[in-house]
Amino acid sequence: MKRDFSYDTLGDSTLIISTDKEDVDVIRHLHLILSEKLKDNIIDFVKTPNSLAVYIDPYKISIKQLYNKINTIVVNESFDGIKKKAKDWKIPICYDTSYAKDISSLSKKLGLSIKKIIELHLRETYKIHMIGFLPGFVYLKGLNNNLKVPRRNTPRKEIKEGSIAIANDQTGIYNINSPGGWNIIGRTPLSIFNKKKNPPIQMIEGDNVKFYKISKDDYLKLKNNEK
Amino acid sequence: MKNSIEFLRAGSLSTIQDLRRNNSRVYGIPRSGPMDHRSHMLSNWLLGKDLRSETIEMTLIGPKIKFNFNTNISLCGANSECLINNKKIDMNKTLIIKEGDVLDIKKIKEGNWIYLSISAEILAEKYFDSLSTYERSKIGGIKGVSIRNGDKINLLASQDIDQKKIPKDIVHDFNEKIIRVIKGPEYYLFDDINYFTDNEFKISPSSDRMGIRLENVGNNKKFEINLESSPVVEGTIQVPPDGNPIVLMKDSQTTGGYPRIGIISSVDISKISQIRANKSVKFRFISLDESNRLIDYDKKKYKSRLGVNLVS
Repeated sequence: MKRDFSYDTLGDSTLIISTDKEDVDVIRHLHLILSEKLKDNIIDFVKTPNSLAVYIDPYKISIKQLYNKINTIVVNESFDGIKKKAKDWKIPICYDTSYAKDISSLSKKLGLSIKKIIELHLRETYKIHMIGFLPGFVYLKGLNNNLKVPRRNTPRKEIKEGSIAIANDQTGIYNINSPGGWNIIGRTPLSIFNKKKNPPIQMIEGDNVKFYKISKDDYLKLKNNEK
Repeated sequence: MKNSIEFLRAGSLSTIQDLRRNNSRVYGIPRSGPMDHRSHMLSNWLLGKDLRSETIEMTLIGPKIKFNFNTNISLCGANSECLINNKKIDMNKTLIIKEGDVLDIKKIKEGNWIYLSISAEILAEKYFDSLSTYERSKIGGIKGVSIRNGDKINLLASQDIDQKKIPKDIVHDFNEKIIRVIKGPEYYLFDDINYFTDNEFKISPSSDRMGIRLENVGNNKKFEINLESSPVVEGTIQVPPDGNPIVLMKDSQTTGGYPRIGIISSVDISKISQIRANKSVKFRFISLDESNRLIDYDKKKYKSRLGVNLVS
């Protein structure tokens, strides 16, 4: 099936290609074909659920020239059979309050016991919505309605690698130490983002994620194995 | 003995940067690279190197470096008093270094970022084909962080080169404050564009390699515009609700949730990077076509004056 895209520019070095509704398969496929066919012209990409940003060196090629090249490729592309079989990831999470910095205050804010918060967070299967913002940050859609909560008013200066947090209708995994404003409810011992590997992250948009609960002892054991 | 340099003093924030990191943003990893890529390129040009090659980026108070081999170096960018063996030397030209020489870069007087290129390839950690240091993820450079007191860096053999000088009209002008900006995707959501074009904005001292924070000199206007996370690029001017714009720079995140009122033209990104804290900038909106014309003019100028093809 042919696809229609809309195009927008971000200054003189970035073209943004958008779909009219969220479609991670189309965005992923577009990224794949453009990175193959235009690798001498494109220096990078950023994927969101409904757009692909294409970065160029404007001293080498103009946005207009890039647009013409992309358009020629896109109109000849069928986008058939691009739906990828989603991988299922099982991620261990420790909800111990030493890691789950915000779970007590969330319990008050949401009017739910800590046990109930954990139960609701474990119950759902999440879809990877986006990867990025910060290195390897994983955005997951599918948070239980009863856990919806805004970001913290004041972001934390440092959130530890592996922290799992919730905000609005999403849960997310901080895969490097970074500042951040989401409410932290647990931590995984897995190093999901491995900068020594290329690609540094194996998960991809559209994959499924399910969490399983581990104790603090198991956390420490697994964390040791990761080293 | 291998070629090396030793940092007798690390300086305020000295990092290895180049213009070679591609295809990393798709994983949320910034491209990094020199804040003032133009001065970075000029220091490489003086040594006949590929303009994208690594330099050492320095700021505020520079480092004190001992060389254990004969080579050539160059210094471009922010103005600072630079000494070799306690003798004052000029920036913006090729300099000869003898084994045992000590280069001392004092406090910066004008601008923010100064670049040291060495006529020998630096051996450091490569990530996505680049030596650029990104401290937050401990990527590139020396163990992923800025240079520390006592650090030793190994280099490959020194290349013989011709002596060069940067023509006066090409050297950075630190007095400019007009920054040319192309309208961003959310430009039309702002009810008061004059707020951005009529006011001058002061560079905040809390600016860093991620972003240049600006403060309105007069009364602040508040904006409430909600947005899904969208892609950003260096030079993107984001406006948080408090009305104090942030210009995203080399180590910035790859997406952002604040409205993007504009994106600085590629020809002016180096310029804003060198404007000091507490000095002010003024934005002027231009069209994409005009920005492309400025790039063409820039390319032609450098081709005819220095004989090089610019990159970004």
